[in-house]
Amino acid sequence: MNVNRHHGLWITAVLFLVTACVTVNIYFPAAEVRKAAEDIVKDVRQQTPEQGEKSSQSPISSLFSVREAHAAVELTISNATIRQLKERMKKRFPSLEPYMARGLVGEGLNGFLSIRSLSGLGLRQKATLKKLVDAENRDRKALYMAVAQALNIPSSQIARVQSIFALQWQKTAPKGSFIEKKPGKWLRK
Amino acid sequence: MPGKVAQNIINCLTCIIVVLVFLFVSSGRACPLREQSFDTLRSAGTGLSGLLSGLPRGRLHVKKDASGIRLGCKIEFKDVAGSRDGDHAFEGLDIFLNIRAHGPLARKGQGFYWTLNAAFPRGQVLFFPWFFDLSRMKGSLRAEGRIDKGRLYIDRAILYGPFSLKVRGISLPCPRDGGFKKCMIGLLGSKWELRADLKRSYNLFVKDAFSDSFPVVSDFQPQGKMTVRGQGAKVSLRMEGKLLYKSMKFIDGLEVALYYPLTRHRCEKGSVSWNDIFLGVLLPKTIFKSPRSIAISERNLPVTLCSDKGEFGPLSLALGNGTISLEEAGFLFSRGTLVLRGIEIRALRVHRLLKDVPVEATIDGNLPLAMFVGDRLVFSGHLSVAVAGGMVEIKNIWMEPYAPVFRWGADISFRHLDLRVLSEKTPFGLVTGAVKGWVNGLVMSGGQPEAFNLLVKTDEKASRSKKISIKAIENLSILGGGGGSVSFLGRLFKEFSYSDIGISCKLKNDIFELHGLYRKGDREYLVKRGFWGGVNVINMNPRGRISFRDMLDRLKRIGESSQSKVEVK
Repeated sequence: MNVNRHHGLWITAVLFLVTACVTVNIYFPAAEVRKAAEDIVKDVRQQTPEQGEKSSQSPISSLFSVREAHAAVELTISNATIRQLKERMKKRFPSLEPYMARGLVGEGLNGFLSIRSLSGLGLRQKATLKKLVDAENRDRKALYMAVAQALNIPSSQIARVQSIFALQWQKTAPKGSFIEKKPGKWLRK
Repeated sequence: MPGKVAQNIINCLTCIIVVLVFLFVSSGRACPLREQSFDTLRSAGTGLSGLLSGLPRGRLHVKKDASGIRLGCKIEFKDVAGSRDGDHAFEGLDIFLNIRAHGPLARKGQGFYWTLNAAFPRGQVLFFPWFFDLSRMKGSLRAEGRIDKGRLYIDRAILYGPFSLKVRGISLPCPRDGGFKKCMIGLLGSKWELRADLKRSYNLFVKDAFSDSFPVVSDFQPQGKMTVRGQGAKVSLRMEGKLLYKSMKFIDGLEVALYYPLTRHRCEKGSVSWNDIFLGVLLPKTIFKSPRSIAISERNLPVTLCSDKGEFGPLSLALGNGTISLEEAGFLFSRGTLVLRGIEIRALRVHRLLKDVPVEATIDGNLPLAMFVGDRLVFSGHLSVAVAGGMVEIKNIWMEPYAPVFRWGADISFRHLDLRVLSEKTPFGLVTGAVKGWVNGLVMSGGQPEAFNLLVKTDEKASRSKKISIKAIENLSILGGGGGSVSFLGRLFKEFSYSDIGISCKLKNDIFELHGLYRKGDREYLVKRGFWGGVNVINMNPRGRISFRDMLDRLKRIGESSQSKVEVK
């Protein structure tokens, strides 16, 4: 009985020492993500898209063509995917802005748009708004993935990228927009 | 979810009939139904409860005579609105119902015969991502049948709208023992037929609904007719017409005959055939020489549909004097994933196809399997390109066809490439010798390079003279960060000998890193002279970092001259 108790103590002590020695280092480049978020969000929200520029290319033609890149501003983090996603969001923002200002669409803590209300909209407008939000969130998801890939951030850490971007989206959201300050708590800007 | 919706619709239809029979039996005389609220219907336990707003107006006529009882009922629903949730709603809906029924009251064994005429002249319906404006469709429903021993028989029904749907011989509700799935199979196997105009249906159900997220669907436009039929244990789909791509004819004389089995472990064979496919319209004219010359040699594509997957193939494409063939493609419905088998490329002469390929290049290769890993379609096997007396091998090919920005990538290696052949026909300037190297981790995004690791160095195995012209030196030094001019003394010569070319270039996060492979002290050489003299081209940007925009500018400047650090001995 006594021997067993001693064994138990030894095992506990060894386990304690072993676990005490294990250090898990996960480097998360928060400063770089913050800088990228600032630059990208500012660009999407504050600059108007170039006239006549077609941001999307069909998969078939893009297989073969090498287009001229539009990299007017050199960002900390950028690549062809990020540039094109940014251009699409930039073009979409003028359509989303009025809905956000009316408090129908909010900026969530997870970095995605959320429809807060559909009141006052006809069914056609509801359909339009939902499609806009869906398309924007699809692009945002791809953007977060692209930023994470560019910074060698593992996919398990994407949520942190999203939350850093969320702050920037909220900061630059039009007046009247809902923003999620705490989980489930929405405030009107 | 669609099952629940269908069950609700069945509930509603059954309920309306039950309510009318109830009213008819209980009254036995003509009674007005003016300004009745929906509570009347709700109390009958319909599937509409809590979903609707709006008021019906109606009139019920009942006449009793020796042959039995005749019933006539007109109901108008005006400006009805309702929603199940944010994704499913309707509003401003007008429905006009005209129901007639007759049958014996007391005699058993005989049912009531009924007819229904309904019109939906106005209203909007959202069934996200689909939106329907009924005022543009002029929807109506005509149906007739009987009620007998607690069952509703629909002998014939025709629904008009964006398509026409004809149904014959359906009985409701479903038997309790078989379950809903078996019931639906029974219903789908009944005699029904859906006819639609391809253009209208595509625009309504595909283009309007999905073009925001997938802009490519806007580029296609089918035209023609479509018929879908229930044929016992299978559903058949027939299409006749053509397919346009960006208003240009893509497939002409298209005929589709597909069959989908309603029972498990069965497969049905069908086909897609055409008179002409103008594959070239998909390809940019700025890049392809004569896209219209690209042709698919077959005019028929066998398609097999099983309950859980679809397969098509073989298919062969003749282009550039060569062929691209596909043995089989399979699509797993449950996983939404595509598998391609047996892709072969034979003697594909790229220079005959593409405008900007100044040298002869021929592609051969086998890609035995391509399947999705996550969102990425990954190809096994490799392609070989015979070009400039050497060989380029392309492997680890992948693409992301459904991503918001279309991306593809590969790893490329090359050897014995004759620089004379390559440089003679480009504005870069003449260089002789041979090179080998690789481009690892190439990622192209929407037609732009996103990432790669490039290494080019002299291939010693290919014994060729190694000379470089002044123009090439200047252009190389522009790329390397110098201005790109050779001194007056250097200009006395047209070309110089060299010992080795060695360049590495990496693109990541829009930054190019260009380095010479040969180092001596602090100096980094892109081109190194031989022991007996020649030319050194030194990388003037020791950090080697060049922004994407800067690199584009440098490529534009190639051909112009300014300063460069070139040593001539």
